[in-house]
Amino acid sequence: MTPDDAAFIAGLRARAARFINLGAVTAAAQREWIAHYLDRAGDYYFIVERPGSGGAAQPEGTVALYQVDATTRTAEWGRFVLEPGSPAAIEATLLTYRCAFDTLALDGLVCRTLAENAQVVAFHDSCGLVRTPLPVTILHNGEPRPSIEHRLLRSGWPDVERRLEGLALRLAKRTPGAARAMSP
Amino acid sequence: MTCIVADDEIQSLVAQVLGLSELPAVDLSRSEIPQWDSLKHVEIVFALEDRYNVQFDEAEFAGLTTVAVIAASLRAHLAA
Repeated sequence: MTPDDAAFIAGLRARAARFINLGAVTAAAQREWIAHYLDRAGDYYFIVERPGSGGAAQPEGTVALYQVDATTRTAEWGRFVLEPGSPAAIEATLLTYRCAFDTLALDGLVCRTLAENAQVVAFHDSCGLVRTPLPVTILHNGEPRPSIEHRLLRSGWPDVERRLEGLALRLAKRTPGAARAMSP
Repeated sequence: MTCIVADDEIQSLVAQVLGLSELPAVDLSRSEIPQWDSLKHVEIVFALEDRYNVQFDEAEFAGLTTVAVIAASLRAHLAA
């Protein structure tokens, strides 16, 4: 992610505004936010891209690993926003987990989702993540809201990877350019 | 040969993939069924492809939002 992605991110977040913090709502404000983000340690913010013809890629969403703790080898993942109707959730999630466990060599991830965002909560369940049994609250636009916390530990990663990879590879076969990128 | 796919076949398949105890109404939107998340949606499409030997384009995925729409799309594939 670079400052040049500011307009895309601002537009994407506006289109998916219901369940995410408003944050920087204009491209200029988003560009300023990105400038500060680039100075922040332990924060990896990615653009989800769809391979296009001739090597061009189309931005389709965002995802991030942040609050990476080098001592506990854990991080949060989130800022996961896709264009409405995008089929990229499985592939983007798989690549994010690979970055966390294989590239950054983390031992655990946590994500928190507004409880009312039921289909995203269900998505994490379907991926094989484990819910934290205690109630969790997160701030949504400054207001505390009930949320669901999921965890994925390194011990659970191989099963989750197998599940996601099987679906991602079958999806990639129908997307020119993607199959090569997804192949192990 | 024309293969007629009944709505209740699709209802059963969707219910099975989503782990629902009751069949979803044919016109109930995906957005109204919390268990119908992005991963389960892909599993539903793949289950349909395997059962009926068809392939949906990726561009079609997002539009498969109800059992009725799925059944209509499937019939169109089978008739092609």
